[in-house]
Amino acid sequence: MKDYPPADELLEAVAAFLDEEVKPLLKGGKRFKSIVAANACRVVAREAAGKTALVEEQRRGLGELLGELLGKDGQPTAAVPGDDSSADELGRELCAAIAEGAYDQGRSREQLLAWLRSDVEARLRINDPAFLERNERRDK
Amino acid sequence: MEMGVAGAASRGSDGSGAELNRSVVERDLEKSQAALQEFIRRQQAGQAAGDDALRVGGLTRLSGGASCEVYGFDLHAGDEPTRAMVLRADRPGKDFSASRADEYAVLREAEQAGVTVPHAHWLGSADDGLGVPFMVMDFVPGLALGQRLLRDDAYASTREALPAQLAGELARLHAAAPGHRLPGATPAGDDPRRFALAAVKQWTAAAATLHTDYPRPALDLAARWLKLNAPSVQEPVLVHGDFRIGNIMFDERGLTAVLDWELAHLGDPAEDLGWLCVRSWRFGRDHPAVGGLCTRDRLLELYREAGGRAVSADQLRYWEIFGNWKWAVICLLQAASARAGSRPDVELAAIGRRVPAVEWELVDLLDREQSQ
Repeated sequence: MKDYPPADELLEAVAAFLDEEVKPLLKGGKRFKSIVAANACRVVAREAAGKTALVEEQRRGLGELLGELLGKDGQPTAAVPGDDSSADELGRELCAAIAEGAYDQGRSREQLLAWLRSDVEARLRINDPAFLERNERRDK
Repeated sequence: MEMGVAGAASRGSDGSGAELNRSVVERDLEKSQAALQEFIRRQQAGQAAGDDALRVGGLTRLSGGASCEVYGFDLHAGDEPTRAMVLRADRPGKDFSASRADEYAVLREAEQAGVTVPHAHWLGSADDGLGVPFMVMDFVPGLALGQRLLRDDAYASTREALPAQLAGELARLHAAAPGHRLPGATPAGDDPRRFALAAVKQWTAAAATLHTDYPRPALDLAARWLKLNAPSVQEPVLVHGDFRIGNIMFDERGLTAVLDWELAHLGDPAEDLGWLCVRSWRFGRDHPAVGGLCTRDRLLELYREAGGRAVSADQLRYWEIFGNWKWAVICLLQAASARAGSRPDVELAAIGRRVPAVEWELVDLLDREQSQ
């Protein structure tokens, strides 16, 4: 059970206050800081709304990636449903495998790069959606 | 007067958020001004104008980065015209940058090599009245703001002129025979890859000071690739270490000064060229790759024409990947420093959330490289 309003709505109200009522009163560095602060509120608002789905997707993707790496005959060994590792724990496992050279070449490297790309894009939708829009324009 | 210095300018900061964490210089500007005047008189003792005729006035904070604060002041000397000067003072509690003494020595060396820099006059220690190490240099008029350079119509000619000027500055710097003791340890041994390996090691160590419970696989993959693909350097040169749009001062005609020598060191000339290609210095103008100003090929061509060292496209790509990785580490360090002051700072903290964009660029660049 949660209280109303949800975090993203509350933060959007703070961001609007900073943008519309605080910023016009300020100059120079403080004005810039009010823009940064409003933007930070919007990042946290998007994170509050999207965090659960993001982390679940990371858990699924990382489980698949690591399972593929460790499994024989392409069968994943770290099947997610039975594995209760958190996304962070799986992420640290991935970092350790990278440091050991498990992703230096071939198909595993390609799979890792593809997963990283999709994960970074998911995090950019929270942190910097304008960057993704610029990329899309660039690719056209 | 606007004068952009270090990362602070690209963030648009005037340092006003740091009231509770002010340096000793700013705490009592009048006292600092008197101490500065005393210091300059000592340096000038016995010279033409006469000690007592020297007066310091109008000491004002211009900007400040993570490791350094910048002040402007006027130097009056008898009947001579008033000179606009700059004071660079350490912030208490320093980070990974070089000492003011090293920066001073490097700046003098760059000037001798024909690089366009503000002339550095004097170096002061923490015992010279300001409580922190500092140096005094000429004020150079101009702007260092990347956004303005890339977007403002007033700087159209500057954008035309800059690629050749940037290449020329680097060619002259890299042609210099580094004479003085360089900041930081020069990597030992005779492995020709040791300069690149030392740079990767240095920033890996910096990243290790961060919270390790945030896994960063994209950054770890980049670090691994950089370690495995370190290029050889036959003849190391003096590298600026932070040569980018944002640290270049310009006016309506072109470059007026190369600033911020705090990260200068001995290394691969391609390191400066690769850093210039890092996407963040395009300030949203994503094409072309070199600061939104020219292509990578054009940069190499101009650098070669200006008499620069032999640098291959492979070498340039290596250092561009290194640069993006290092920038991600610096962003995380700056975000971590948000908690270091007497109160957390939103501007610094928010820099941490720029990292995913840098990770995206790293993944894209690594994807274009052949696997091992």
